[in-house]
Amino acid sequence: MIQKRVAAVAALALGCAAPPRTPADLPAARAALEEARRSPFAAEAREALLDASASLARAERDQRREPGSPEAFDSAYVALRDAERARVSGLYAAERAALAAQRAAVSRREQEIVERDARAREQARQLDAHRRAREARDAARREALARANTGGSIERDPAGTRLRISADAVFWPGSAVVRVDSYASLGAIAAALRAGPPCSVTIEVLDDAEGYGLDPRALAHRRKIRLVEALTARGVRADVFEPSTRRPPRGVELDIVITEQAIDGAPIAP
Amino acid sequence: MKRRALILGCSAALGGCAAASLDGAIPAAETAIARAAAGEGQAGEDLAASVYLALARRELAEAYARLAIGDEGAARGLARRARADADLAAALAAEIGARDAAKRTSDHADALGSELAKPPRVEAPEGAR
Repeated sequence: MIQKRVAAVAALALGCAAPPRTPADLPAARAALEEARRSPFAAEAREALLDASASLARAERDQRREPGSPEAFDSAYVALRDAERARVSGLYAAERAALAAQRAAVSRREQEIVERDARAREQARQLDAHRRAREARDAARREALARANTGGSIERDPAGTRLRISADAVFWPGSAVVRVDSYASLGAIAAALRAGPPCSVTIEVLDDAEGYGLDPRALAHRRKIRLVEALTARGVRADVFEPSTRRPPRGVELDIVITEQAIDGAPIAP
Repeated sequence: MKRRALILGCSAALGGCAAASLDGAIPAAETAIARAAAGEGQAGEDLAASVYLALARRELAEAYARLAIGDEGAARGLARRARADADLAAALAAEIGARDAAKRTSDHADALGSELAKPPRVEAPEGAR
C-alpha cells in the first residue's frame, strides 16, 4: 500500500517536473499556414495549401494523441515545411504572372519595333523615289535650258543651276527694253522653269553697264524687273523669284540662278 | 569486416522490403528528392533550395540507416521529413527560376523600350545619295 502511494507521488512529481513537450514547429507551422492563406496569390497555390492544411491537421492530431512524441515532432516539422511550401507556391504563381506580363510586353515592343522599322523603310523608299524623280526633272530642266538657245552657259554651283547669258542677247544695249528676237529663248527658259522640280529663282544683273540716261545700278534694277515680268508673263509663278544680293557676285552678266528646294523637307505620305 | 558488410547487406535487403511498408514514406521521399534535384538547375546558386535538398538527402540516408537496424518508426519520420524538405526545395527552385526569368524578361523589355525611343536604323536604298 505504501509502495503504491510512493509510486503515485513519484509519478505525480515526475509528471510535474517534465510536462509533455510541444514541438516548436507546431505553432510556427500554424503561423506559416496562416500567412500563406493571407497571400494575395493564395488562390493560385490551392493544392499546396490543401497539402499544408492536411499536414497541420495531422500534426495537431499526433500532438493530441501522444504529446511530445517523436511522431508529433516529425509531423510538426512536416507541417511547417509544407506551410512554407504553400507560401512559396503563392510567390511562384506571382512570379509566373509577372513573367507572363513581361513576355507580353516584350512581344508588344518587338512588334512595335518591326512596324516602326517597316514605316521607316517605306519612308526612306518614298524619299528615294522622290529624290530620283526630282533628279530626273532637274536633268530635264537643264536640258531644256540648254535647248533654249540663249547662247549662254549652264553651270552648277553651290547656289544651284546658273544660266548665264549675255545681257545684250536679251536687252537692247544701254536699255531695259527686251529684244523681240529673245522672246523664243525667254519662252523656252520659262517653260524649263515651269517643268522642273520646285525651285526658287534669283536674277542677278551686271551693274556696271552705262545706260541711256540711267546710271548702271538703275539700269540693272530695271532689267531685273523686266526679266521677271517677261518670265511671269510666260507662266512662271511670281512667288518663285527671290530678291538678289545688293551687289552681284564677280563675273555676273545676266544670270538666272535656279535653287532647288530642300529635298528632306519634302512632304512624305504617312 | 566481411561479416559486418554481410549484416549491412542483409539489413539493406530487409530495409528494402520494409520500405514499402512505411506507408510509402520512403518512395515518396525518393520521388520528391529526384524532382527537386531535377529542378536544381532552375535555382542556380540559390542557397536555400540547395540546403533543403541536401537536408532531404541526409534525412533519407538516415532513414535507410534506421530501417537497416529495424527502427521503422524513426525511419518513417525521417522519410517524411525528407519528403517535406525536398518538396520545399523544389518549390523554392521553381520560384527562384521564375523570378530570374521574369527579371531577365523585364530587362529585355526595358532594352526594347530604349530601342524604341531611338530613331530607327534604316539603310539608305541602293543608289540613294
